[in-house]
Amino acid sequence: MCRAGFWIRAVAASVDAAVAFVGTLLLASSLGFFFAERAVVTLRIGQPGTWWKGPVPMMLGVVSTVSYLLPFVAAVVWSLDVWGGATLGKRLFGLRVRSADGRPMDVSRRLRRYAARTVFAWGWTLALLAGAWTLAVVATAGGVVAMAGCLMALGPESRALHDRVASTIVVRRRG
Amino acid sequence: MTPRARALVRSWIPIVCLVAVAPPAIAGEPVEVPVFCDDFELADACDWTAVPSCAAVCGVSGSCNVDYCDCPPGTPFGFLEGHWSGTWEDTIYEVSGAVEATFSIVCGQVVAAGVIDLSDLGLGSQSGTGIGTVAGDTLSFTFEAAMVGGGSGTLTLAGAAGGAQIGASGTGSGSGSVTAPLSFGPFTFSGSVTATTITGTFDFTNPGGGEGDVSLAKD
Repeated sequence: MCRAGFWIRAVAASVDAAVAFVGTLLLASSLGFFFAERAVVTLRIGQPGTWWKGPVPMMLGVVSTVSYLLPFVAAVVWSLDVWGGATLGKRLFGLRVRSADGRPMDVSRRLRRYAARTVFAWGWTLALLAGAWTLAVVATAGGVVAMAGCLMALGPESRALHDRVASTIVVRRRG
Repeated sequence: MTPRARALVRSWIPIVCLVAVAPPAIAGEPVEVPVFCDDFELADACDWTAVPSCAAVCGVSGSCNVDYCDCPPGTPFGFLEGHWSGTWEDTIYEVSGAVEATFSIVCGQVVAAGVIDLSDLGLGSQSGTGIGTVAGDTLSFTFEAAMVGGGSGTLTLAGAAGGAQIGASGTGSGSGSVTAPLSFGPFTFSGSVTATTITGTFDFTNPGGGEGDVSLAKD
């Protein structure tokens, strides 16, 4: 086994994103409708004085049954890292998440890695469920940090921020 | 007749036909109007861009025969013809832009070409087309724009007795869906039309979807 580089991980992540998107489309008319209604309440859409207006909120709003459900579905798709050591995208390309020493991850590492990776997804999901827009703001800020942290995998160690937080590496099976 | 001779005849057709006295295009039976186009073959009866004479004679469009124009019944939606411009605004998200459309009557159908400014959404200006079929005082129309989506609706005139074209007005409604690549959700719209203004509202039916107004004035 060798460490997986940035680009193979990026492609695997793209597969996961596609799976999450398809899953979201399938659930859009049911669960998506629920999350969209929660977004109206949480973000005070259409209410006087709301700050949730402008082009980006509008585009998210008109696809609300997809856009506000997507974080939750993505969090579910990524949870395969916790339960099986690899998401569907990683399995497709022979990638596995291991402890930094190469051994299988323990539960603590799995959860830490998952939490660091899904701060945006779970943050938004919980914000919508709780009706707390402040949590959405915090989640967005955390998401920006996590996204930027993914670029750390471009380094020689091929470890993203969530790998460093959880002391993990992503390896690729030879052959 | 050689192609050159035929082209020469074609070039004179508009002039000859413009001399003919055009009857008023009102609702009713097709009107035969002599245009003295003997010895002339027409490939496409309604291709009035190739043979503009009948468009001139009929006031709108017409199917041309060898020696007369079959003017279609006058449409009560003739007042839509022309260039319209205005704005759209999403009142929920406070996003707006320009919109313009040109309506014409072709072969008894209402044909539209429009442009909507979606620059605020980073999508630039998107062009689209529409076509409507007239049945009595009701116009059933569809519209689409490649990058945005499409929809359909109806427009029913009020107070357009006898197919009068001046001062006509009406109300309309319909539904549509913004499709890929934007994949915006479904929307409904309703509005009213007069000889000089088109006003309406739109509503994306998803929770949190936008809603707003559109207004156009005839140039």
